[in-house]
Amino acid sequence: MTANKDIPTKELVTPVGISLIILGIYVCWAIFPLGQRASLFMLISLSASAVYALRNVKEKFPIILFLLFGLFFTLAIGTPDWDARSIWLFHAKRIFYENSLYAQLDGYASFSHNDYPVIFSMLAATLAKAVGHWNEVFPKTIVNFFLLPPLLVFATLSKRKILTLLYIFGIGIICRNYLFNGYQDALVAVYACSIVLMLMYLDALKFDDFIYRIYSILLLFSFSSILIALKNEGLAITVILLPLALFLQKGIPKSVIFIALVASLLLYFTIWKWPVIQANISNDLMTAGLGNRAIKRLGSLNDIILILTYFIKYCGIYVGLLALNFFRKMVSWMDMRLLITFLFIYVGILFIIYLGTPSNLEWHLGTSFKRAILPINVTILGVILYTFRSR
Amino acid sequence: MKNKPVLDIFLIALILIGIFEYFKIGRSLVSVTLSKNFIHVSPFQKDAGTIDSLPNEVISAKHIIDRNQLKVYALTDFFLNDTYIYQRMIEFSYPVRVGQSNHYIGSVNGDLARRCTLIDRENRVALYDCK
Repeated sequence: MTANKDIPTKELVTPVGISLIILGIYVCWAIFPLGQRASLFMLISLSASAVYALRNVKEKFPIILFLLFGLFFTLAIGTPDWDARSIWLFHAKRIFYENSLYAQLDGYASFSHNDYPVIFSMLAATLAKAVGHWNEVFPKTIVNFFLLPPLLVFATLSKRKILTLLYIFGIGIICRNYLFNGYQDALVAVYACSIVLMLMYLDALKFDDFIYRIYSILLLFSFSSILIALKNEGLAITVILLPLALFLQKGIPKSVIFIALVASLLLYFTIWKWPVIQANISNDLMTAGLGNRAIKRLGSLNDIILILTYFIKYCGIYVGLLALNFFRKMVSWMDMRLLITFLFIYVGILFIIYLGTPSNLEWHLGTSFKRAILPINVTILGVILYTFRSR
Repeated sequence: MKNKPVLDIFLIALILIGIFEYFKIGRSLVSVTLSKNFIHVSPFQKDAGTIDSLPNEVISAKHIIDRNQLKVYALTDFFLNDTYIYQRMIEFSYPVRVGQSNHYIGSVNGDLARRCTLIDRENRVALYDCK
């Protein structure tokens, strides 16, 4: 294998840097509580790196406009949405007041799903620490820091401003309010899309250089670690995508993917999952009988049709777009093998989870399906646009 | 190259649709707030966004908790039976917690009004001491 020198290596250093700073703050919180000065210092570092990443205004104007929109709407309106208040920002409030990343592990207010990971809540609490108090508006603005690295990755890999602009419009149409209302689902979707694009990009790169290997490990590790720490779906996506890439993306050395996967899982288990297990806090969906309920519902044609209807309603158009691209021979199986395999496995897992839900199926689908399917829709959009980069 | 003008028109149309969609997202984000409006104070002010994010009962209850410097309080069925109000109450009153206490927060017209001593009230919400 020979190293391809015509790669946007330098440009990808900034998203990796920003992601590593976020992970650094997360690790700091796991070790000791951050005071006001430390929080301020961390956020200034993060802001400085964000400004540095966007210094080329002419090239980055789609991202700048998007983030200005995000900053305005996260700072100019309150936070009324259910999960944002009951889960993510409540966890942030608890971290802020209790001075501990593990505040929610005392089990208080079990409706807030105390097992859910806290990287978003952690950064919102850091902002509140820096400001000196909590309120119902500014903590959710932290979402803009999380959105920046995946958008920079797309802008760098797609190489064309128009594609970045279309991607940003696309994620707006797909994710709508979930981008800025304090929910995590849009973040999970853009991070999942970024990891798929990185794996496609690294696969085509064919490198043999030690520096590129380290760099690729950092790239995959930083994004996977954030994705896992955002929401439980992020863990599912990571443990589907990276092992799949071991078999499908032959251009990437197996050691790169393996090390990135093991390191991000280790970080997750050490900082979050192990303390959750120690605190004896379980996941609401993983109650006993998931398998039995799933098997029971498999016998109910109405339930299966109901789930399929939701799939067609919420992701049919994007799957259709992908099929159209195949039909027009605009993309090949080699380009899309990772996406399609991921799509089948992720959809299969969602299907089983909905079949086995302990809640009323219609209620569960109605309240969560359009959010759970976002990673599929955003990733299809991102990959299709990415394939247009050299046309 | 002969397709270029068509492609340009297509791209301009896509960009206009995108801008329109973001306009709709902005409008939708504002419309789901309880005030259906932007906040009228600095986003970093201590009570910013409260009336835009929370129902009046919960805000009144929080005022009562603060005025009476409660550390822990109990809720009556008025709050317990409504999941939305209950969850808003727990997260907004934090770090003050719901738990075992003589101090009950409920409706001014609830059955506690007959059995317990009224300590404080604001709008439809009251604090009772039920020893």
